[in-house]
Amino acid sequence: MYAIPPKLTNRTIVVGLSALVVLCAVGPMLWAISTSLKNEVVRSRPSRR
Amino acid sequence: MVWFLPVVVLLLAVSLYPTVFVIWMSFQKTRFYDLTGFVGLANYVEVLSSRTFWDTTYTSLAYMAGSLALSLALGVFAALILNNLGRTGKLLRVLTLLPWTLSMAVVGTIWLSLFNPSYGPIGHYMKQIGIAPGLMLGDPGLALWLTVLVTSWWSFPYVMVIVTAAIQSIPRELYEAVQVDGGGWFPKLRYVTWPHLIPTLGSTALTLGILYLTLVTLLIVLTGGGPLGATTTWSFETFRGTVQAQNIGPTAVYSIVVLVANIVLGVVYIRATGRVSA
Repeated sequence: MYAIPPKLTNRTIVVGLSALVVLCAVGPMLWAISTSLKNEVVRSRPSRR
Repeated sequence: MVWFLPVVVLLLAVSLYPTVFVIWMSFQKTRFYDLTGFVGLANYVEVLSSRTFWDTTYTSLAYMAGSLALSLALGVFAALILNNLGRTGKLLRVLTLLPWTLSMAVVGTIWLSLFNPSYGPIGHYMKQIGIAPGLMLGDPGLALWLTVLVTSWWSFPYVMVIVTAAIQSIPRELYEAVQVDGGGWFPKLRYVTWPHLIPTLGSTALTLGILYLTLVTLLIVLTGGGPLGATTTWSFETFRGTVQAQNIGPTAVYSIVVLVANIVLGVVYIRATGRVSA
């Protein structure tokens, strides 16, 4: 009936688009958290003075 | 009859009194925060005949319409997609909801860093693929649309949650009826899901429209109303006039414009849908 089983194709598209949605929502926050951690590491280095 | 009097008094005190006070203030001449005399419609003439007012009108309406269009589209899309995933969808919905839970000041700070043309990752990747990032939020032609993008990123999860609730309340029999008639994914969306979403989308658009017209924090953090006034909305001008310029009379006129715009939005919604609440 179908050249490609429709459920599998739909599943792939759904999972792909879901990942895209979640990445768009969470990505900027993850970037901010990772940047803040990096800054924290720099700040916690002992001063050269 | 007397049992509801405390509520009436409370409503008058916290809602009606400030509104009436602002209306009264818009007819007054001011010297910093002091009201110095009645000037009739002079403040209205001054504000409505100024070019700044019409610039802020364009910015406010463009900001509201752009943010509404993008957040509604993204919210509906996210709800439709994540609704297919069952239990995993629930978890992903919680993750997607996170931007809405953040303070607007935090959202602004995150995106201010992301859009920074010198050290922000967006500018960095644009340079890598050979596109000059330009000034980003410092570009008068681009700042408003980037602000719209950030506002939509922050508020689309709200639309997603509301739309998900609406989708999940649709009776399963309607989908089965379409399936019996040989309809697939698109007919189900077109003839079952979409008609059920329209009233919900209307009330969500009204809520968000009022929110966008009164929103100031994100604009303060992202652009400060600039560059060259490109992101100065009515509400931002109200904030600027009150806190920075301390020119209360004309600023009260801006407040009343926002109030009237919100009332118009409400009336249009009620007229369009024939209902008071969704």
